[in-house]
Amino acid sequence: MYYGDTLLVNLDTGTTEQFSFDEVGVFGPGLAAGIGLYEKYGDADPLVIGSGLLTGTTAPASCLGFVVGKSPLTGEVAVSPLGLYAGAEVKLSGFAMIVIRGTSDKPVYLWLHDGVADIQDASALWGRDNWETTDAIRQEMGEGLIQVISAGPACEEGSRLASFSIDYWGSGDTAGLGAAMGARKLKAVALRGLGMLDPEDPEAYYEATMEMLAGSPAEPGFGRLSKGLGAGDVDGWLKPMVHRYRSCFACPAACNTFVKYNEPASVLAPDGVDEPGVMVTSAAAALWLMGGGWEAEPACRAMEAMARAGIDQVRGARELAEKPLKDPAGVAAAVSALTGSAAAGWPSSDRVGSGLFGPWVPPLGSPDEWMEAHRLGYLLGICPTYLLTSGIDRGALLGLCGPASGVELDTGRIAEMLP
Amino acid sequence: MHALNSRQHCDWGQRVKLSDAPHGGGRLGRAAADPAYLRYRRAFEAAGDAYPSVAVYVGAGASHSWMWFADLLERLGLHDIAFVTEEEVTTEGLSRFGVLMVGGGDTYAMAEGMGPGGAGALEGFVRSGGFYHGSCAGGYLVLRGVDRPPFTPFALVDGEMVNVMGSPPEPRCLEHKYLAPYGPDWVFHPVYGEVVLGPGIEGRGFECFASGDIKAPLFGGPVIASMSSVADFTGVSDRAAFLWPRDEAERLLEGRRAVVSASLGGGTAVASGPHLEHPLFVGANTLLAELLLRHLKEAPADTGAPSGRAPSTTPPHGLNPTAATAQVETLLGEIRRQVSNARIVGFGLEKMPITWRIGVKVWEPEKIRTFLDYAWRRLPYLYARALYLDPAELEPLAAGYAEVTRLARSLKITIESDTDSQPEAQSLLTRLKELTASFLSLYFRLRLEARGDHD
Amino acid sequence: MRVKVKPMDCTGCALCELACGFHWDEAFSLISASIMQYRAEEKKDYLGIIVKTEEDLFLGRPEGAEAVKLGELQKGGGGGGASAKPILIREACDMCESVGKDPQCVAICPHDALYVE
Repeated sequence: MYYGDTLLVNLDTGTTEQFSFDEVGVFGPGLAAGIGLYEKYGDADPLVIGSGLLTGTTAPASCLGFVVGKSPLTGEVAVSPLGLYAGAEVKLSGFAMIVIRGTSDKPVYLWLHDGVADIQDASALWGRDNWETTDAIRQEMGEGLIQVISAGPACEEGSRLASFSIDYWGSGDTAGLGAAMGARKLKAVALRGLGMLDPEDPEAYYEATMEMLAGSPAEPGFGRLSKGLGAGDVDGWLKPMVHRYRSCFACPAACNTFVKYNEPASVLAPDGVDEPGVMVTSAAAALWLMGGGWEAEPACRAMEAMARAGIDQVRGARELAEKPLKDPAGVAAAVSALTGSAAAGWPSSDRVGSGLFGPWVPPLGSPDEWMEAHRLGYLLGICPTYLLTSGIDRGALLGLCGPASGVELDTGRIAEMLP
Repeated sequence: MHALNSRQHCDWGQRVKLSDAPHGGGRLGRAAADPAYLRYRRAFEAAGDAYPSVAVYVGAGASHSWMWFADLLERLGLHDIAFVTEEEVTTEGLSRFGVLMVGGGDTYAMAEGMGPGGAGALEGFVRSGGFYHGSCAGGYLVLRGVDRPPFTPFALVDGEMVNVMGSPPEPRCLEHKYLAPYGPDWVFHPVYGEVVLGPGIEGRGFECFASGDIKAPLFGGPVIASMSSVADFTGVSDRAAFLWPRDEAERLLEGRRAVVSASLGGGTAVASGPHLEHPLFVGANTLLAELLLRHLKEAPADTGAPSGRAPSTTPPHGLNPTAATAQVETLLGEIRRQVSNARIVGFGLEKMPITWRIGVKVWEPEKIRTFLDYAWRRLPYLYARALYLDPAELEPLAAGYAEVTRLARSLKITIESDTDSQPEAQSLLTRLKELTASFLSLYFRLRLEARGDHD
Repeated sequence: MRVKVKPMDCTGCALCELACGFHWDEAFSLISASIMQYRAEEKKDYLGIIVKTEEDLFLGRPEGAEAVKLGELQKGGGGGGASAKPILIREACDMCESVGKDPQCVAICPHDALYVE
């Protein structure tokens, strides 16, 4: 269930070329193709962007896309997630997979739309934060629904805290792939497509996904995560500022929390302030700050500041947690003073990710279960956190591959594709 | 480094389903693939010298619905198509066509644009063996009963419009679609959307009615009183908006004529209230196809009605040299880029609470994307025929669509700034209409040239 | 009976749009549904749901949900604003009767933000 070619971007020459996804299809779907392409162009140390087989459909939590690249933090290949609407927009961009090589001699951003790839001048965006960059690209292209994966100032500077952002809200890039973008003078990847995904057997696919959704838990907020981790009541901590719980694309859970602190959370009409608050997307960051004794409002302002700057909110929050703030006035200085001394991870666990995968997903279940959720999730485009917390029937999920694409997939083949 | 290199590749990719036509599917794709068209396609393909040359009116007053004719004609395998304006109508430009199709829009602007000279040209066209089909505004235009200025000289088909009165009652909904002035009276529209048609006296035995009544969309077209008809209104559908109470609307439509035709000289003129050409209404499409096919079969051979251009695989300028083909591909890439850019902006405009009144017609922002979709869906074919394209004919399209992107982005900024967007919207929609006609002309020329390839 | 919206219960997952788009096109897209999210003001978290019917729009604005007749939203020329006007060219909601199902947007909504009344 992909359409479009694989896109090969050469930032050295400022050129793009496209080739049939069939040619690389031997790798498998989703991250298997992403890793396969990374290896194929490994000499050029590329960044590979893609989405899972089922991404962008009614399959529960089929929001997931990914970026594969060499982590500046470890020098090893790593995968960072594209959640919110970014993964689905990758799927709809008209490119099955996107390989980015080389380094531009001036700042650029990629504008990928309906199978057209444009390398745009980003000189005016260099130095601007992720909020400004998202606004500017949307303004330039004339559409507010464009998804923007951007490298904020921390990414431009090659900070050890660098993390790319999705729109305004940061991301689960704990591998520093935002810095890999910055090093290539790649300010952003902007995506929009008006395409259509055709399952091989539409009705069978749709009905199967409806059945899965009918039994799917839909408890909004971070409650399931914090309970699973035995952590504190982060929802209660945020509650006075909560405006609404938000989902990633096609996800019955709503693990994101929009909080308002520049106007009352109860304001519903859009005629208030332009930037009323932030969408808290990182449960780990919120837990670190809460556990460190931060008041919720300065904590959320700190998460906003990190999202703007392109700082990994988890490591940033872990470092910030050591010096709790109760007054919002000190937030900017505290975020500016971050050194990157803290490691990624979750407050209640010493697990910091495994193999290709960083600690974006909470350490629920056994290490094997955690890894299996990643393999399955990144191949199919299903959020691993959802897989670990929903109790969804993974066999049924695998059963979607046939109606989706005409190809059956089982756990054995998954292990072959992503050891 | 992880054990990536030891990973075994799986035999997956050759079977991964890829769709290279993101807009080829869906309802439109399913409708286009309906086998009901086959019979007509074969008949027209077999028409030989009678293969019709079709003019589609895109001049003054034409809204966006003329593009539906492009879909219909393509499904019928009729590729000898040109898009004409009032200028061609009034300057004997119709003489090279056997068929003229006029869709919806602003009937006043059409009549005033063509003027009495155009009315005479239309009559002459039909009398000399031509086939005129008018839907909605194109139907009002030629009804004999629509006789107030500027419509007086346009009178090809017997019929009165029933949907006219001096003081129509307040509508239940769709106020902006309800009325159009007609002298001291008002033309009103009691139903907007899907209606049901059954055969009139002349339509009995038509293939499209073989399994019962058919559906067609009525978007402000005439409800007709006439002695005879091809199709009558037999009901309404739940998939319609009722501007009058439903029972009253049903009573107004019941038994009234939906499609009427007239034979003049060797030709045929058809006036239809519903849009028989709408691409989602296969039954209605085949009703129009049947009318055209019967006209071609029944028209006397010596009427002088022109036949279509002989299909040829030889393009006018021959095959491109390699350098020109590279230039063609670059230009096609630019067209694709700009159509995509403008579509994305157009899509974003669709949820904005704004409409523009141009003449007596209300235009919604979604029509911007509708125009662009017609080019977008057909671009892959241009790529496939790149060898037969001349860069010189693509350059104006590339420049035009770049201008459309610029205009669309500027329009969005104007709307967001709460200033009057009417002039910009009008410029954009006018430009889009011209460009879409140019694009489709090129597209159908390529289709026509390729006909021989499939014979 | 029609599909109505409790806008502040909506989490913006777009499953309703996918289900409705599938109902019309037997494929997944966000361009053809009768129900659509209004999510152009992301920084404000201003998220509404619009349902198009033959005769009106149900505007699930966060500040208040209401049905508005087509043509009454904006008569022309002027500015935009935060309210939403969907595309007439999209199909109107048929409550999924044409496929003999209950409204699929309501069935798929994980947070009961949609209901029939």
